[in-house]
Amino acid sequence: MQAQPLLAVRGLHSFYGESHVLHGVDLTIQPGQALSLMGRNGMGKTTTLKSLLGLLQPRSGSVEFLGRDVGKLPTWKRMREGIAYVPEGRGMFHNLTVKEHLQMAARPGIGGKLEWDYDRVLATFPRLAERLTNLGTQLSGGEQQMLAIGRALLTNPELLILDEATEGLAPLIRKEIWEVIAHVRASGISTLIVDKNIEVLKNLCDRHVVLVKGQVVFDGDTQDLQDNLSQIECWLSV
Amino acid sequence: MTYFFGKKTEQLFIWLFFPLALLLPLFLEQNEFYVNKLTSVVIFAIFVMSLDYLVGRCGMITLGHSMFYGLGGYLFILIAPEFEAVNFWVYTFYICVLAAAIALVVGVIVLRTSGVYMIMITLAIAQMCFYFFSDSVEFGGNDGLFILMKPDTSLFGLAFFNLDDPLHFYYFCLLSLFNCLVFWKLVTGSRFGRIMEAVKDNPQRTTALGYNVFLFRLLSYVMASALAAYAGYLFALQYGFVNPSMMSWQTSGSALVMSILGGMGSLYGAILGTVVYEGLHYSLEHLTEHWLLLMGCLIIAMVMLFKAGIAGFLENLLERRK
Repeated sequence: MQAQPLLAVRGLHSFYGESHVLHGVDLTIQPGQALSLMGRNGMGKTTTLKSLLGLLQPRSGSVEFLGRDVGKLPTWKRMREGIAYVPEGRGMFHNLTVKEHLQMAARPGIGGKLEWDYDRVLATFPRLAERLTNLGTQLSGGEQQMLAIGRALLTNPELLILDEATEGLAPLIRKEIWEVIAHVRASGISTLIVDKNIEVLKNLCDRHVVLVKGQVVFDGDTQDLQDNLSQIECWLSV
Repeated sequence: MTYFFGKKTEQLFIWLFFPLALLLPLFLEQNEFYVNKLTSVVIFAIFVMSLDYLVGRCGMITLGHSMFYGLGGYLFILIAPEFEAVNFWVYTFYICVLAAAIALVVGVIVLRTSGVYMIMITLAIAQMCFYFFSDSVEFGGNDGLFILMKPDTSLFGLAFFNLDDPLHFYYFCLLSLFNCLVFWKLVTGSRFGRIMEAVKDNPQRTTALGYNVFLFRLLSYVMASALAAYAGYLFALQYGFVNPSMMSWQTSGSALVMSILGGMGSLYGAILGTVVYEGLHYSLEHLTEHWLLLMGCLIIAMVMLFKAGIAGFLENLLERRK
C-alpha cells in the first residue's frame, strides 16, 4: 500500500480572466520526495504553483496537503500547514536587512518542529552572515537567492517549493545554489523544484513532471525521464 | 537610549528637542497663551505620529483618522458623569479600549480595501461621523459639548499633576509624546514591526510566508486609532470642550501634510512636521490675511526641497545608509 502523499493536486483548472491556463493538472509528492516541474516559458509552471498555494484561485480541482483538503484555505493558512515558497525573482523586501528578513520569517513548523533556526541557516549560508546589516536588495543575485531559501527554511516546512531558483544567475553561482538545494534535500525536506535545467534535475529529483500548454504530458521517475529524454528535451526546447 | 533610537539623527533629535521643550515653558511662564499653544502642538504631534505609523510604516493611507481624534474627546464626555471628577487614569484606559473596539469594527470594513479606495472609504466613514455629531442636538451640534468637571489625576492617593495648571498639563503631554515615540519605536523594532514593513512592501509575498496580512493590518489600525483617541482626549481636557471640527477631514488632511513634511514613517519626523507646520501657521497668520497662500507656497517648496521630508533631509546630511 502506498503511503499517504504529502501533496496531492488533482484536476486543477485555472484561468487568467477568460484565458484557460491550466487544463486539469495532477501532481503528487510523497514525503521526503523531490519533484521537478519542467516546461517552457508560459506553459503554466508558475500558475500551477500559484494555484496550489491559493495565490490564484483555481476554478476547479483539489489540493490536499498531508491528507487534508487545503483547497479552500487562504494562502497564509496553507503555508502554516508546512509549505514554504521561494518565489521567482527571489522576493526580497526592499526595506528589510538580511537579519530582519530572517528574523521576521522564523517560526516553528507543524508540531513545534524546530529543525532550522537562525544559527543553522547562517551556518548553511556563511555569506549571509557577512551581510547581516545589508538590505536584502543590496545583495548579489546569488546571495538574494540564498536569503530567499534561508528565509523559507526558517519556517521549518514539510515541503519547500522553489520557483526558477537559478534563473538569471551566473554559472558558478548556479552551481552553488544547486549544491545548497541538494544539501536541503539531503536534510529530508520534500521539495518541488520548478526549473528548466534537466541535467541537474534528473540527478537531484526522484520524480519529474513536464507541462505543455497547461497539461501534464510526462510524469515519471528518473529512469522514465532517461528513457524518454529526447522527447522531453523536445518539449523543453524553444 | 540607543536601544530605542538607533540612528544618529534620531538621537540628536531626542537630545535637542526634548530638553528644549522642557526648558521652553520656563521662559514663557508669564504668558499662559504660549504654554497652551505649545501644549496643543504637543498633543497634535501625538495624533500625527499615530497617523505617520499607519501611512509611513504600514502603507495605509487614511483620511478618516481624525474620526478617532474627535471620538477620544466625545467618548470622555459621554461616559464620564457630568458633575463628578472621575479618575484620569481609569478614563484614559476606558477611552483607549473603547476607541480600539470601534477601530476594530471600522477596520474590519475599511481594511478590505487598499490604496485610493481605502482613502475614499475612510473619508466617507469619518464624514458620516462628523455629520452625525454636527446634526445631533443631544451632542451639542456644531458647538459641541463642554467638560464640566476635569478628572482627578491621583494615582494610589498621590496626585502627580494638576490638570488646571497649564504648565503641569504641558509637561504631562510632553511626557505622553515621549512615551508614544518610545511605544512606536518598540512596535516598529519588534518582529511585528518587521512583518508590517514586509506587508507594506508586498502583502502577497508576506502572505506567502504564512502571515495573515489582514490581521496584522487590523492590529496596526487598532493601535494607531487608540492613540489618536488618546490625543483627542488630551485636547478635550486642555480646552474643556469637544466639537465636530476635531473629526473633520481637514484635521486628517493637516495631519497628513505634517507627516509628509516631517518625513513619512520616521515617527520623530511627525513631531518635526507638526512643530514646523504649526510654527509656520502661527508666524504667517500674523503677517498677512492671505497667510494660507504663503503657507501653501512654503509647503510646496519644502516638499520639493526635502523629498523624504525634514527627517529624510537630516538623515542624508548626518548619516549614510550602509
